[in-house]
Amino acid sequence: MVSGKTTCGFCGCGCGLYLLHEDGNAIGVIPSDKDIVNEGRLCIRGWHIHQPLRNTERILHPLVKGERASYEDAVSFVADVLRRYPPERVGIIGSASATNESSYVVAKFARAVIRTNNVDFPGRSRVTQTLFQLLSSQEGASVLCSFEDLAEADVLFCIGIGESDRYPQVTARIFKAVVEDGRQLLLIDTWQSDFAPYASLYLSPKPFSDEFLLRALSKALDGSIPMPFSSEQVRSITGLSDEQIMAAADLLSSGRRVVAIYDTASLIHIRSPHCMNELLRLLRVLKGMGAEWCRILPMLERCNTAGALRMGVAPDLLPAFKWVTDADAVQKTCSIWGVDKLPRNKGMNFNQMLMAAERKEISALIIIGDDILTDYPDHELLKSALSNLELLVMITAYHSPLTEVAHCVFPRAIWGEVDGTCVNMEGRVCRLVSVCEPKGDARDEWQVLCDVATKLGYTMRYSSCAEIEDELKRLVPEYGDIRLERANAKTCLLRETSITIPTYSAHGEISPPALPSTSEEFPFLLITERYYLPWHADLLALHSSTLQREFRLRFTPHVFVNSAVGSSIGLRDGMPATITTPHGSARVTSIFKEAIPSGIAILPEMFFPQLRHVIGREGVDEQTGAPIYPVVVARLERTR
Amino acid sequence: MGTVEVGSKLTLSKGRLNDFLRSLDAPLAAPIRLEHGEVHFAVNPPLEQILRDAEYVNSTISPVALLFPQTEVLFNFRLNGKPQLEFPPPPQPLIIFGIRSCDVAAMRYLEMFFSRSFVDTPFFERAKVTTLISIACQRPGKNCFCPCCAGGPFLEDGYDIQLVDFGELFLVEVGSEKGKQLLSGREGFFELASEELVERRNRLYEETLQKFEIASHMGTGVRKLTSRSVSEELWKMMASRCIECGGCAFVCPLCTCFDVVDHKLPSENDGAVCGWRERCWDCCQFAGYSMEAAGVSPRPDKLSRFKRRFYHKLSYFYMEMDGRVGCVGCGRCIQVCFGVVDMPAVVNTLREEKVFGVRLR
Amino acid sequence: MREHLYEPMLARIVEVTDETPDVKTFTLQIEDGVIDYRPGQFAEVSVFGVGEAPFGISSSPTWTKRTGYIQVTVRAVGKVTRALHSLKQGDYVGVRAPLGNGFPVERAEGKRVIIVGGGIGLPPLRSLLNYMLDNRERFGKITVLYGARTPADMVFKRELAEWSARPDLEYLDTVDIADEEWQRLGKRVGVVTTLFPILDEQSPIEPHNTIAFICGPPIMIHFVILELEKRNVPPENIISTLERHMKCGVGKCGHCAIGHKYVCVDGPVFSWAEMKELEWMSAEKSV
Repeated sequence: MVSGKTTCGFCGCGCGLYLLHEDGNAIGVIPSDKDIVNEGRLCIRGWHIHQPLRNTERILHPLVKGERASYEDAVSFVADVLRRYPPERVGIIGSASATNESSYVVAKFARAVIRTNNVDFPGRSRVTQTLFQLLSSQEGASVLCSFEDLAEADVLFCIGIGESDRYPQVTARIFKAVVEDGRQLLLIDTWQSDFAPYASLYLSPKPFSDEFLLRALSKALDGSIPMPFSSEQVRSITGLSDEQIMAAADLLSSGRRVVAIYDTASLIHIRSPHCMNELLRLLRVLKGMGAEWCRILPMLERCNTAGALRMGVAPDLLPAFKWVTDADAVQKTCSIWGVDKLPRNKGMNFNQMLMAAERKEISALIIIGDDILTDYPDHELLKSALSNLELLVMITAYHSPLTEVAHCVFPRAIWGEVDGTCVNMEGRVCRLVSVCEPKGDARDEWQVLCDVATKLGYTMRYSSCAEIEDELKRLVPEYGDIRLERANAKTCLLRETSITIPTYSAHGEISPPALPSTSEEFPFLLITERYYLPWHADLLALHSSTLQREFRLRFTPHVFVNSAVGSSIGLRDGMPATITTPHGSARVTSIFKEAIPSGIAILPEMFFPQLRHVIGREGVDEQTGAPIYPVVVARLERTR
Repeated sequence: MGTVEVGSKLTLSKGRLNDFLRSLDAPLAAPIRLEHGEVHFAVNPPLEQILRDAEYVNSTISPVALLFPQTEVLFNFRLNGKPQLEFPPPPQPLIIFGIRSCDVAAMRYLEMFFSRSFVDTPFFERAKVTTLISIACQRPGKNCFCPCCAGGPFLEDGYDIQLVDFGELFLVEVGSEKGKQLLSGREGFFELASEELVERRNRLYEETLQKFEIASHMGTGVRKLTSRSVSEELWKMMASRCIECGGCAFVCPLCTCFDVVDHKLPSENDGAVCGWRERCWDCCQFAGYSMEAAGVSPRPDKLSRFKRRFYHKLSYFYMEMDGRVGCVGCGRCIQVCFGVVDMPAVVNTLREEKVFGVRLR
Repeated sequence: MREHLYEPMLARIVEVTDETPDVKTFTLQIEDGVIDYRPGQFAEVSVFGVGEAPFGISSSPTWTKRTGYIQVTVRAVGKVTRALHSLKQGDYVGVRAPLGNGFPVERAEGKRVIIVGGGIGLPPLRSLLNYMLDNRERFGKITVLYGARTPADMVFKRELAEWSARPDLEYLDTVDIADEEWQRLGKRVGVVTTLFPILDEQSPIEPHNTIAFICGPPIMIHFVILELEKRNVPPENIISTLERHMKCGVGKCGHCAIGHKYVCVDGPVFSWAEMKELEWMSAEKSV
């Protein structure tokens, strides 16, 4: 039997597919060749999204203090304990993989029930800030690029997009555009990805200099753009010559329809919101020069980052991108939620909540889903911070280091067991359908929250997703057209909504990256980057038998170096090496990639925890609260 | 009309099609449209949903997946001391209606492959009781190139029953014992076809050949690849575009690789543990596919895996063994590929020895 | 083998022998009875609920006829092997056997046989050697060369001592890294290829009448083949095994394919001549 049309839940592409099932068991997938997003294509993850539904290693029953409990008892336990804490000592961590409907309930639970603004989702605050930067700009969501637009673009400007397997549907468009349609590709990336041979122009700037380069490009096209640094400084920071920058600028201005493709999760954009700001500035210049249109495609790792944000799973946002201090919005929200007031002060964001847990400045956290493990690879640190909590509630499907220290665990329904909608990287609303019965006592997180809320005295009950949608569209009117049941629901692009709030951060000046200097003793700059599809702790993927096999390969800590350089210093591809920094040394495997520039070694972020002792602790960006990985100098030697 | 024989050429009037289908006392798989219009071979669909020949080209997932599904339970087990194994019941007979020539050719290959050296029980139990009523293609799709691969559009042999749509009626060609068995006892639905109709069929075949948009010069591909006269640079450029999604293997009706996985349920009250062993589609492009337990792999990089796929499909040594080139020209890989490295793109790249602009449209 | 290609026969573990810290030999009694196999063939052994993995049968067919048991020798290196190691006497496993082509024993009749094993490569060679010893008169001079990383890593230690003591068998062994006991006994240290010059002294190889069987890590096989080629042993008389990840064991799942050959059906035993040809035909390195 074939399910209704649904959407893959792994990443921000939002590919359309059907689930093949028999006797309530998922047995396969059928990609939709009519879907605008994927046109029949699926990446390795999409092809195996049915497998977690067959996996038996799920949490089936609620656990209270490690012991199996009935659902009712677990709900009572949580409500009883939550009651004790003042709102500022409670936090909710939602998920960028949760549906819109679910996220709406999460935000409502935080504000109407707990009365706190401590609600956020992991997703590297950098991503959230970057997306927000884009959406709150003067162009707003109208600058978002759809895949249809991408097919029309004559210049594709890819900045820091990494390897071709990260966002497959974007990759497909890039290759088709270049190989079949003869479009121009301007690729700016510190290392040479698979796209480089196809670029009309490929530039490899020094790491972390993107915001500089973008400003320099704007300046090259429009002399009136302020540039507080001299040409020589720009050359030295970016590592690019004036000719190269001019060539890039010329290529951009030759386009009538320009799309900028930007990886929001890439760590190479160390001040990502600033990069986004500069990118917007550049596109305005191009538009001013007569381009027909200029758009941005902000690639998102998770399937509903944009949706979570729009539903208000953020410490300072109400649904529909309204500030928590916006009096009109507050009034309207209060009336729909049936409360007399809402918390006024901006709450803690995700990183701040974790730090507060560590410092015992917060008593209780409710964590939904497992994104937190992917986005915070240091599980030991995470676990130790969270074990300080007096109450840790997790709504999750799988055991993890965190469920070991949770006081209460509710089994969560996974993809394929839930209904709802999500918003992909284009701003398109995509539909998820439930095909299989949730296993054991598992249910949607919104149901758990509703039951806890009701127990706490705030009656919250929805009989279905449709009921949630009815309510949320009163606050988020652009959802008015979207209905779960409509069989031919036209997925709509949420492009026409602009957010009428001023840009609130990243209006500061561009600043040079503070990189340590290499020396003979430490000839490499060791940079942590978000490599690979974000699978390494994606528990849903780890519970697919095929994907799990593929991930196992990635588990030994490895460092990428340039092939020629690696050979010249005696390293061997795939063999043990010792990496030494001023802080210490560690054993890794060295893997050769021609694509890495000499003088740089890349550490995939997932191994950061194992090398923390030689790299140093993550810092935190003051403005965004996002973690920043230190760049250290290092040397690599063959281990005998 | 007399008895039906292998080689018989009959006609079936369109008006009697549904009655004929209803008379088949076996589950029927036929092409329908899913919610958004995708073509899919569903089992026992309502007759009014079955697509007519002119209404579809082919399905996204080949109907051979009805015999070799993406996931298949091999057996269940119960462990409590001595293991007890329980095998799925024998499969029901199946008639696949509306299957295209390319998939029929693929089916014949699969029957050969799954019985070579050892007989693959799960596949064969199904294949034994499956009969194919194919409809020869007169309107090739934009991605089709079966004439280049001995995969159609009309088959001369290797089919059970081949229908050719002539508007008011079908020409019905009986190609095998199975086809004959299916029609025996149902002669009442059919008339003998005239020689004139058979001649029209042959002309129609020639006309259809002119309608293909793509050509893929398989012979050149086979030659260049087998003689190892393809430059490393060319291979690298192509492999760099592959993102190892597995789509080509999963939609290709001739691909047969699978993985075998055990699953265990939580133990029951008496301590017994139940579970099952299943097989699921696998792909040689996945890095873990040829990885050994110790962590080494004979194809550790994308380039070697990419070459492997095309070696398997195009090398002369495989052709000799398999009796055909590893492609039937169904075009599904073109639909699913992210990097423009589907079969015609690769073959034509090998042939023209250039990277850009190789699609011959 | 059962009628259903993927149905394992049930087998009870009769005995578990520790060979080294990470290698065990399992003596199995197949419920269905005794299976008939050739040295060099393998068995797919199932730990139900965990998975199935291929192991060269390490007992000889003649021993199996005598005892009714078969043996597999397993190193714990992955999920299935680790699960197998946790099993005990009396536990059940699944067995699909015999699979693969096995050694061309008939081709060795009347010839001088050189058996070269490296570390965990010895098990299938033990099957071969014990079979030959049970049919001693059919074969010429038999030489066994065995090398392991350390003395602790040597498998079938008791049997090695027996082989070493037999007058109708020439046995030489060596380790890469010796321990105190090994050094005290004055035994050889060095990789297994260092045993060849010793052979040149005490029993030189006559290329026209020699057949060699090699099993071990790929890199060792590579260097041993070089030594044999140096001594002009014809490539069709250098017999070894190809290592590939095998899953179904019956040439269907595709994992072990190299070129147009399936290691589980056309191999795992191949002559060096065949391997060279296969390398050329497949454009893939075989060893």
